Amino acid sequence: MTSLQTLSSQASSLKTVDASLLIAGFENPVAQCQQAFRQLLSATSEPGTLQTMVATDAQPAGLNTASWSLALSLFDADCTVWLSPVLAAQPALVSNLLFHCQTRLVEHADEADFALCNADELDTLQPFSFGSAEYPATSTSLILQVPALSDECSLSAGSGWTLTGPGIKFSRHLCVAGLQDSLQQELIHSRNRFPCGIDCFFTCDHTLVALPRSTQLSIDQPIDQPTDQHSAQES
Amino acid sequence: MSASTAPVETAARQHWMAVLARADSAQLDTRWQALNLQPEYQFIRQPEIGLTMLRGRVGGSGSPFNMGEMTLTRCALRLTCGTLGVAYIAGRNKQHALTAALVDALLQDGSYHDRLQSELIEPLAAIYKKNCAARDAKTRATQVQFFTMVRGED
Repeated sequence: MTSLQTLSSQASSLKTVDASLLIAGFENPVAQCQQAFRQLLSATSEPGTLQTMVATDAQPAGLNTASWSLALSLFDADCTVWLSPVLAAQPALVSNLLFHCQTRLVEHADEADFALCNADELDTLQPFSFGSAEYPATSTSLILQVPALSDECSLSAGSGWTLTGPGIKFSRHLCVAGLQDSLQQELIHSRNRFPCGIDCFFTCDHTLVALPRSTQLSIDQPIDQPTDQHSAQES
Repeated sequence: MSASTAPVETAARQHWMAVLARADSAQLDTRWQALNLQPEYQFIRQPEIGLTMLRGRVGGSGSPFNMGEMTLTRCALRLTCGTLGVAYIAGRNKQHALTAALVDALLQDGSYHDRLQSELIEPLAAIYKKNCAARDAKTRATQVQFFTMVRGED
């Protein structure tokens, strides 16, 4: 009993559950978790395809539907999660993650199996774990909430990428809005560290796109935009 | 932990949650039906069956060890007034967990507390106490006093 109490006091030393903020999880946990996991598999095996995730009635403030579905199906007591400062300041999100997922929230991003973050908060991948050559699977998986996603290059403010690699027959287009330039450059350069690397999941509203570390990225050449907008991104 | 209603004393809540968890499912159900309360609620966590590891300590104070797993049913729900009720029940009876969570929520509500306490919790606690006493008496009759003679070794 003492050890149980120690465990729970360790967990609560970081954050505690506020019962008044709890919302319902999946209505049918087993089936919906499996469905969300299947959609995640499809997204990861075919990088760049948009998946519409299973939905819950409500999400905790700070998360979009797709991120909440991912959290409910992926996070459990055996994994560690890092929340970006803005998300960590949302008591409803913290309470619901602790209650529904019983997940361990960590303060340092490099200890995390999963990181949840908003696109405008992240300008570098450096804080996360890239895994080791012996155990590349121990890297952090990044769930990044972005303002818009498209598989056509139609988003004006977005960064257009051409994706190639496993799971893509020829090439695929992906447009992710709201990513910072430095993060984009790091994403592209981090491909050189394969098999180490960060698997990214971009979420927007109900939509999920996966960008596993095996996918090669190149920035689309601008068609109707002046070139100087993109020159700043080239190092 | 903050509650939307008046703060409930932890010890009191632990007591009624323990009584509800230990109560016989059929007796709890009969008494709950007799109260004829039909509160509206929303599930936070549907009644679900799982396993929990029981841990023991050698001699009650030694190093901990895993004794084995037991089945457990848990449920969490929110009444329309916002009160959260939680239940953890040994075994696989989802209805028992649901009823216990409902009662837990209603007991935190001042307007139902006294009635539930007198018509549900107190009788169930008395039955539990009586059953325990009967079982203890039965067990005590079979008690054997062991003793070891000192063998003069140091």
